[in-house]
Amino acid sequence: MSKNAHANRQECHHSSTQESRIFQLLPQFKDILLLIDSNGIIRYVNPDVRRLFGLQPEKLIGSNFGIPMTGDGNALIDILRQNSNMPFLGDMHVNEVRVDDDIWYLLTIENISEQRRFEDFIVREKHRLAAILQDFGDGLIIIDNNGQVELMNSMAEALTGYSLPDAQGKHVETILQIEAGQPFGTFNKFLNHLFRSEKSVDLGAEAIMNSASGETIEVQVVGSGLTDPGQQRNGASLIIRNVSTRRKLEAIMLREDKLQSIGLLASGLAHDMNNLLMGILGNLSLTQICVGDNEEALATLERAEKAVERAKQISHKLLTFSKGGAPVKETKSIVESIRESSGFALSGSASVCQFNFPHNLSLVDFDETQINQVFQNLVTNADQAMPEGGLIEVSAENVLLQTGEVPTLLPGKYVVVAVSDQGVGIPKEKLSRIFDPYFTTKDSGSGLGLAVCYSILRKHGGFLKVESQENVGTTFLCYFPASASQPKKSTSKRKPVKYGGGKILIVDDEYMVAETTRILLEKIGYNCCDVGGSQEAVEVFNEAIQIGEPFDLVILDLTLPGDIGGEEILGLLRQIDPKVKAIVSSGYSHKEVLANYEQYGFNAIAAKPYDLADISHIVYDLIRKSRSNAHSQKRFAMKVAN
Amino acid sequence: MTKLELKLYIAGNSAISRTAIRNLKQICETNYTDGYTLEIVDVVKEPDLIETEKIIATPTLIKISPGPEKRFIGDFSNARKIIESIKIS
Repeated sequence: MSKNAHANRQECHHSSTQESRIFQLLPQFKDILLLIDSNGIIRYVNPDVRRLFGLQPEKLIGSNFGIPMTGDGNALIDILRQNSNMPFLGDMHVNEVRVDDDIWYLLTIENISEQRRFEDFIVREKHRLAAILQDFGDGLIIIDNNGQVELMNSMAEALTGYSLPDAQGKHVETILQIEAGQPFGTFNKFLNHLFRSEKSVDLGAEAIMNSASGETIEVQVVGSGLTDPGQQRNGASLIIRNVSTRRKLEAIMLREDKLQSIGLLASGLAHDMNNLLMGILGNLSLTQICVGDNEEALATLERAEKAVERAKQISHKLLTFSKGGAPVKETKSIVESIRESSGFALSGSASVCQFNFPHNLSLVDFDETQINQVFQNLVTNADQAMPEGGLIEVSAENVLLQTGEVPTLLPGKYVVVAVSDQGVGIPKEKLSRIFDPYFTTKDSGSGLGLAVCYSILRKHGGFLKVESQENVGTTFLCYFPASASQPKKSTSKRKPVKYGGGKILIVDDEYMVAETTRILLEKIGYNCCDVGGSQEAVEVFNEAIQIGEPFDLVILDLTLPGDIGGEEILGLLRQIDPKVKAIVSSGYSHKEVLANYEQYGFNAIAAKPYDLADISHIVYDLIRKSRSNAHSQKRFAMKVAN
Repeated sequence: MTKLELKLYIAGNSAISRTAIRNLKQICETNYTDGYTLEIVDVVKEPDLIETEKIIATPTLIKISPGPEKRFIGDFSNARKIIESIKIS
């Protein structure tokens, strides 16, 4: 022990008796009580410090605590315990005491460790709550009993356009511009009800809010009263959810549902129509052959044929619109199709098209007929929106879409084609219905055009959007998935009717179709037989084999009501003769089999109503190939035998 | 003039420690521009010093020179009182 410390201890002991008598008069402290002299030496410490704080009073007395240096007589300090790493937090209060001519210090030190731990806990919990609130996907606002904002999360800041510091203290109706629907009518009534209610209160449907971005959005608001630990009312919480996006998706789903229902009807109609057209077109073709060079007759037949072509287009439209309607896709650039169909739509019009396509526009997998239909419709609409004529801008670009950027589309690469006019525009209240079937803003028109376009885009894995402003113009945006495939070589042009020879079996439940097809093919040199069902087909096919005159080719209707389908019939026939060639024919274009016929064992497809020239080439090529293979095999067999 | 030599004992990087350090640095930089040293010792990192230096509580400031040695305890927010108590001649 140093000299000074020893001297100090002696002095302290001398005065301790007198001092202890003084302190006996003082009330019991639950804190540390220190008497410090002018040099900072501890003259007295209450004995309870041993019990309360584990400190040894005999070691403290005479020690140099230090002269207290605080601003206002108070300071927080750490009391270090001997043999412990854990100091305890003390709240020190200093009172100056005059002793003779000196200033001594009477210190009380309150142990606030527990309190500080509790405060730290509160701070941590506050931080945790703040983090949870910030991550909360909906807007959250806490208001006091007067409706003034106390707290809100970042989503609420984004929705309202107010930051928390700006919003705090303001009435919630100032920062939330909400028009309420039923049952409250006004946001104010809702708030009044909320403050009186013990349960959560829902603002109700059709609440509209002016968001910070200026957009009008539909919101759901649910309020709940808050209580303090004493069960007294302590304000309320409001959860605000932007449901606009959800509503849009619901509307899209509803529209697609409607389209599906009408599509079912259209599908049946189109199928029956195609069979009838088959009969008409087939007989017209036959008659054309029969009349020879009679020009007047040929001209009449040509007009009749054009009318049937027109009917065929309507049927095709209905089919495209109907359930399924799988596009028969090809990988190529969409630019030529757009140019061609736009040009066709504007023939005879005062409007002009201006095209803008980048050189590196991605290829698209698409059905040319269907896409031509889309752009013909869109450009026609654009033209009609500008009765005096005008400029229609058609442009395309490659885009990379993120999740949720365009409804129903997955993130990825797309080609977006925009068709814009500067016409009359579409009224806002009609925009959401523009793709509904039979909805039209025009005096004339079926109201099917845009519904068909929408349906086509959806079947191509894309989407059709519209943006419009009255008296400014309208833009339709067509999204197509960018192709990952390589383009195929260009298809051949229209050929003349090809005559040939061979034996063909026609299987179709529609008598008119079967008979017409037979007559057509016989006219161009083939030996044909037509049957109406699977049983007859197998019998006739087998008999032909038995008599040594097998069929070279079968033309099978895909769907035979009340019977097995073309695919199954082919299976049965191939069990008898594996080498027979087969064409699948159908009035439905949406069947999976037609889009992928080779996978189902067929060698070609023929969509009804047939084009005589086209089917004559298909039949000719298949039979020639079949006979050529048979001949090669025969020569090989002979060679082996020899 | 004798250079001012100070040693400040703290217990960890708490708000109390940071307040004391901030206040002392300000006092020194404002009033002892001729030169001073302020050594900061953390007794949490060097607990042996609690016993050897007889530190009862922190923040404890020891004026080492100019002598005599003096100890102070608190937050050191009253600059005038500190300067008077340190009293460099």
